[in-house]
Amino acid sequence: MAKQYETVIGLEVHIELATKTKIFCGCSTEFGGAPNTHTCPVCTGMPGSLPVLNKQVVEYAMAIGLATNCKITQVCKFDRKNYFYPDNPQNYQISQLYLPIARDGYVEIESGSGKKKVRIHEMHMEEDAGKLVHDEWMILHLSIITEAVCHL
Amino acid sequence: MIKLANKISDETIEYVGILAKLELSEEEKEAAKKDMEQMLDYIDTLNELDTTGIEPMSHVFPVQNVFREDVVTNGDNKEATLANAPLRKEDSFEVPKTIG
Amino acid sequence: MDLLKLTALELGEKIKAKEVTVREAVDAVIGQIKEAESEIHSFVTIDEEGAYAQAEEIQKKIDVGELTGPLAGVPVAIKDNMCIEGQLTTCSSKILSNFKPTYTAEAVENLRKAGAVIIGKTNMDEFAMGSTTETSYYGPTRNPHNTAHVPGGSSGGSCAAVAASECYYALGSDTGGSIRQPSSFCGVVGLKPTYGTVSRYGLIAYGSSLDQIGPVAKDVSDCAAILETIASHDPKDSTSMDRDDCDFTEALVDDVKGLRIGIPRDYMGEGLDPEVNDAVMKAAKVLEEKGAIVEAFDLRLVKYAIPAYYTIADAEASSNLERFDGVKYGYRTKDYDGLHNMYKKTRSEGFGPEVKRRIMLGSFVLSSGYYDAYYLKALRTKALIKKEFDRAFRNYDIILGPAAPTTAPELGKSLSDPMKMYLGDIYTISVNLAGLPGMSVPVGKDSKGLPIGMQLIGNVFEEKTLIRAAYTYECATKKMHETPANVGLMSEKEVR
Repeated sequence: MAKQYETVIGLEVHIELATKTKIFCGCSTEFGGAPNTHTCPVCTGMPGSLPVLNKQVVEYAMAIGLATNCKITQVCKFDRKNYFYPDNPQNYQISQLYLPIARDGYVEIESGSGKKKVRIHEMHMEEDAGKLVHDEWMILHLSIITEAVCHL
Repeated sequence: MIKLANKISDETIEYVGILAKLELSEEEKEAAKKDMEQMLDYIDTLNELDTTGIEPMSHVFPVQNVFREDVVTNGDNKEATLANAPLRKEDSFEVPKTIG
Repeated sequence: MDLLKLTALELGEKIKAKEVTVREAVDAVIGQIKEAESEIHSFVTIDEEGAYAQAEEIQKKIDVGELTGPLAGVPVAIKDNMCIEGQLTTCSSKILSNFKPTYTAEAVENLRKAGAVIIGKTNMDEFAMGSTTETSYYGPTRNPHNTAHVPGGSSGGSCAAVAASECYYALGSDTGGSIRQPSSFCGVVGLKPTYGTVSRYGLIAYGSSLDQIGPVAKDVSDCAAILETIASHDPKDSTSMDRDDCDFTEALVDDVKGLRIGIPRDYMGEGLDPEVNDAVMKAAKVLEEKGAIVEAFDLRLVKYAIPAYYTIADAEASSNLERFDGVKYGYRTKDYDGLHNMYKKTRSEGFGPEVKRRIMLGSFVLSSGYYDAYYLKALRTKALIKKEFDRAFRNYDIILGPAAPTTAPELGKSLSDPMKMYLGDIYTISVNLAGLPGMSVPVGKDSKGLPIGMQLIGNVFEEKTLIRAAYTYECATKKMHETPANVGLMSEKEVR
């Protein structure tokens, strides 16, 4: 007797937001610059540098959250994910672990068996890792994490 | 003299070494174990405090919604960024192989 | 050496009145440094050439009326954890022993704009972790009042430099008492402002929720003037406050009538050196005689401050110090086998034992499975400690006590028992946890000639209350406890 398995899929989607500057500093996000041109002490993790949040990131994140029927977290905060890697200048990533900006939303899709709701567990803002070949440190990021909902 | 209630195992010290990216000699590991045991015993006194219902407080007074406008303020800072590089290759930081 | 005996403000006045040139002021401190440094070792870097270049430029600006502030032309020393563009900034650590920032700390920039002459960078405990300035990669600093003893820490170099007249004032940083304790050990005035008053941009972080930059000075007036200059709202620091009450020199008023001063019973009991106890109680009496209302009270939770502090500070430090990995700046190990080996070796070779100890503890308390039990518990304790101070400040304007339980210990006696060393922070640490302002003022010397300091703690934003009380005390005692150390050109043995 063959075992029956049910496929369950969840997605983690990383979206780069179309802001003019990076999430925590005033460096340009323009693509294709030569290595390390659009950098500053903040996004290169220099000692004594401090991050300041880009207002546009919050506005875009809330907009996407509302567009996907999420609840916007009234008080949210950032946390550090500590790990060592050269594309991560401070060796920690500033992300949102405990209080992400948006939660419990959904997106409706058409599937073979009719309309389906893909539930969105949460959305959080975070800084993206840089590239090991050329600079893209601290481009900001919105991470969308769906719940495991696709049954095929 | 506080009786040592916390026992730090070899595995724990190994694990902490990985988290902290530190390489310790056998001697240093033994000293680290003792130090941590002592500190953790002392930190355990916090359990005498009833903190039910108390929110963890990171910042003493609320400074909320501190933002910066989405305006480019920095130019080409490549030389400044690379000025202190231990090893530089053209316009990048050179690091040991990350794969393999 | 009469020029060295002046306070920063007195010198500033003489420079303004054209009685003294900026160059002469620099001559005086450089001369003293040459005489005293071999004994005291306050500095990591002395920038003689840079100081004279600044002096020339600043003199010109003073002459044409461009620089008119009270500190224009006055030489200052900066603790070596504050970045200065183009200047070696080491945090007294091997891992930054070749680091020259390409930017300047905001507090230092504020001093620059006011015409300060930066003489050099002062020695400290490595990455501000310590209470004796003995964990420095560059060797210890000695207490100018008795060179067999420590100056305290971690701003030991800054406090020793001021006490030894090697500069007119200095900047220090305070995370758990690192301005107030060494100020009391060195017989100078030190102030840690309310958290958020002075920008932390360019201050190499230790415990980000606790760190503050503050003045180390010869007297209270200098302290107030320096704080007024360095305090600012900085958009580059998200924790920077926008205060409209930074005219701290307005508080230099000789009047404490009706001021309610509380002395915590928990501070004055077991573990406190009797000579320190005496001196602090005498000082309280002076304020009482000037009209303050002084009484004892119970400040609870005192004993929980240290474990809470070390959990929080070490956790934050373990994260803040992750950036030191040999990739972008600083020391990189010579032989390595792959990336992670390079990280481990660089950090193990680059950091001293105390730093490694704290990083390990910090990593542990943040690790999964322990985060709630240790880190969050400590943050809840912090909230309770703040509540306790709130309660105290409903009844009192100032909390008064010793800055440290003893005077400066002998060199070489502290590092072998880190726990004992940590316990010495008992009076200062809770002030950082609660984000309050605290000030150390010299109130006497013990039988070994070592200075004793009292600590004044105020409610948030109440620096002016502290300054007023300290100034009144100074006036009443005619600054008799604010004497420079007998060292170098200031030595009474010298016949000049």
